[in-house]
Parts: sequence; C-alpha cells; structure tokens
Amino acid sequence: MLFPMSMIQLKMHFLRHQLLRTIRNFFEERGYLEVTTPIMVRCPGIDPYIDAIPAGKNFYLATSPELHMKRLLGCGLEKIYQITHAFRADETGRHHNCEFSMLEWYETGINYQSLMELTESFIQAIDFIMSDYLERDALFHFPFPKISVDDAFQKYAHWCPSREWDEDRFFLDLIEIVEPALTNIPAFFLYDFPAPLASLARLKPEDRNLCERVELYLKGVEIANGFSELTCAREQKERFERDLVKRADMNKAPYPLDQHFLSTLENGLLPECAGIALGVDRLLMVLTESPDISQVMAFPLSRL
Amino acid sequence: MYEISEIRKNLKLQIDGEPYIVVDFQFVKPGKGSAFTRTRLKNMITGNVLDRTYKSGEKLEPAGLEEHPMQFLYAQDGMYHFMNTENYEQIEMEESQVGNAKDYLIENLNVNIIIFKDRPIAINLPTFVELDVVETEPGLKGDTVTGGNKPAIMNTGAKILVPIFVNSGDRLVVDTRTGQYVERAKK
Repeated sequence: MLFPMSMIQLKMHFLRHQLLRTIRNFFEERGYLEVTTPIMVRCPGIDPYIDAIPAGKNFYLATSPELHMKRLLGCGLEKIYQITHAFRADETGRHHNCEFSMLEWYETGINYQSLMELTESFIQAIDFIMSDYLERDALFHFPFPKISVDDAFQKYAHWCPSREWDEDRFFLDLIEIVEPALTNIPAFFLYDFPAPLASLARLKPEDRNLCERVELYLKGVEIANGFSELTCAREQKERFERDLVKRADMNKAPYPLDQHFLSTLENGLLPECAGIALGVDRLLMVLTESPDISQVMAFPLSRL
Repeated sequence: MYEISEIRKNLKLQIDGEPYIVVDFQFVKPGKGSAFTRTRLKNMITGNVLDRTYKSGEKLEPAGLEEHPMQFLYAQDGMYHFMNTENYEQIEMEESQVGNAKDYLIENLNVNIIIFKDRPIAINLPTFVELDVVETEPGLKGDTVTGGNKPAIMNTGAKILVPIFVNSGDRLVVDTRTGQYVERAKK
C-alpha cells in the first residue's frame, strides 16, 4: 500500500496553479495567442538523442510541439505560446520525468537576442509574483549574464568547441566541468552553440561555425532552450537527413520526416522568428528550491 | 554485462579489477545531447570512493562476486576463522576486512561471506543476532516503563545502549544494521 505521505505537499498544487496563471497573464498582456497542438503525432522529430514513446501504429507521443507550432506561424500567426505535455522515452532522474510540462513560445520578426530579453522579462515577472506566494525574497538579480559556449569552454575546459568540434568530449566536459563551474551563478544564458548542435536553429550569418541557439540556466538547472529559427528548407532537410543517418548508426528507430513542416519552409511561409521551450516542472522545482522533480509533480513516473 | 540503464544503488561492478558498489547515481542529459549517468562508487575492499560518469551505450562489468554460507568459528591474533557450511573448507579474514561485523560475531553464527576472486571481502550478517550482556549497571527491578538508556558491554565486546531494566547475563536481540537493542531474547 502507498501512503499518502509519499504524495507531494498540498501547497505545491496551489503553487503550480499560481505559476500557470502567471505564465498565461504574462503572454496575454503581450498579445500572444494561446494555441493547442496535438499530443499524438506522426513525426516526433528527428533529434538523435530524443526517443519518442510509440502511441499505436504509425503514431507517437509528441516529444515537443515545435514543428506544429512553426506550421501555425506559417499560417500567419505572429505571437503564439502554449503549455503542453511532452514525452521522452527513458528519461527519468532528478531533473527528468518521461512526461513533463513544457511551455513553448514563438514570435515572428525577432531573433535570439530579443528572445533572451523577453525570456529575462518572463523570469523576472514569474520570480516577482511567485516570491510573494512563497513568502521569500526574489531569487534572481537582473540582468542575467550572457556567456557564449566558446568562452565558457575556453575558460573552464581549455578548448574551443566551435573550432575543434568533438561531440563526445563536448557533452562530457559540459556536464563534468562547465556546468559545475557555472552553478554559483544563479541565472545565466549560455548562447552561440557550435554549428553541429544547431538542431533547428539558424547558423550565425557572420560565423557559420556557430548557431543562434541559447539556453537558460537557473540555479544550475537547464530550464529553457531557444533559437533564431532556421527558415531555409534546403538546409533544414539536409539536417533532418543527417540526423536520420545518425539515428540509424545508433540503431535507433527511424522517424518519418514532417513533410507538412518542410513544405511550409519550401513555400517560404515561415517568416524570420525565434522561439523557446521551457520546462515548467523544472521552473517550479527551482522556484520552490526542490532538489527532485518528483517533488513538484503530483504523479511522476514513480507514483503512476 | 550491465547496460547503463540498469545502474541502481547497491549494484556491484568491477572497475580496473576491483569490486565497487554503487552508492549513488544520477541521470544527466544536456539539452540536445546524449544521456549520461553519473555514479558514486565505493571500493568494496578499500572503502575508497570514486566518481565516474558513464555515457549511455557503454557496458559495465559485473563485480562477479560469490556469496557462500559460512559459520564463524573463532578469532585469534587478529584473524577471524570461518567454515564453509557446504564444503567444510575453512577460511580466514583479517580484522580490517571484518570491520564492524566483529561486534556481532559469536561462535557458530551463520553468516554469508562475499568472495571476490577467491578472496573474502565482506560479511553479510543476519539482520538480528542474540548477544549476552556481560557488563552493565544493575537494572531497576520491575521498571519496564520508564524510558532512558544505559550503556552495556556484550559478549562480543560490542557496546550498545540498552533500556534501564536490562541486567548482566541477559540475552538480547540486536539489529546488526543499526547496532541497536531490539528486545530481550525469548527464553
């Protein structure tokens, strides 16, 4: 028998409610439209390091709402956000639960620099309002430092990822050296990732070894990942195909390419834009200073 | 071989020819990157702690430990002698390997001994053992209610805290995981 004691504190339900309300108010005030995209999808994205959970024949649970939200931008919407659930197979740990809440927003006509400003305002608003409910001082000071990936690696790991790319070394040094060295900075942006980690971000026009990608860290936890979005159909298709080959090399399931998304790009319908995905459970973890994600979710994997 | 996803607390691995036990682990996955598992491992012979990070897809070698039922015979000159109750072979262990288990080793106690490459490295004790009190302040007769503890020395030399009413000569049940008094043994 499971005891009620294994449940999260009652107060956490109230805090989550307030957090969701504050998020919606923030975007409402800025003229964003709240949208809904499917949880059950045909094309879960081709990221070699993200595995989807199958949902019956030919379908998967969404690993991210990204492609559908960009298709909405292609339909003419300009500022959109949603709070949805995303699913990733085999990701369970102190900062991971296979199913999690994701906040994702996009705005046309901006790049990742403006996106950082907006994200900072967002965290400022959330921190200010939630501190009230949590009866403590605000956690963060503004503005947040912005640290480029190359600078961080040169300073702490003594090599330059964008010039001497080595993927295994990059991720191992990131978690073993660079992230630990930066944990005493309460909030910061890590930006300008090496081009091989561009995913769906556009490359920097002035330096094709870098991409316009940014990650937000709060209290040492990776909270959000955003891009100046890649709008070039040819380049996007090449990247998808490269990732498909990589998945095959890793003996992972092949996923179909999202042809609707690609034709949105081919037809030039996706305008210049930037967007970011933010883990809502992790944000609640940081705000409530909880060491484990299961402390902020009513029903994490361990209590299903 | 173990997969990285099989890493759990208390999993026993062989690293550089030495047996290790997982004391803590954490799943780590940077955004858009491969997954890792960070582990804290304790060397089962030296007790040294080691931090290792494994990338998903790596394979881990099981420690290859054997566990044999043994009976404790006697201790002499810092060596502890046991008999394998399956084949009657005798083995000996140094005091440093026996560790805290020596507080519970009474003659003829049945234990399991962990063997790594023909070398005994650890003792798995029964959860409860019965020990005799050899020295303690006299108990207050009839007082089984008042709280409070006092120190007592047992026939193994172990010092434990016992309730006020316990007397020298009493046989007690002791929890070997915590070293705590449980109850007076049933006669």
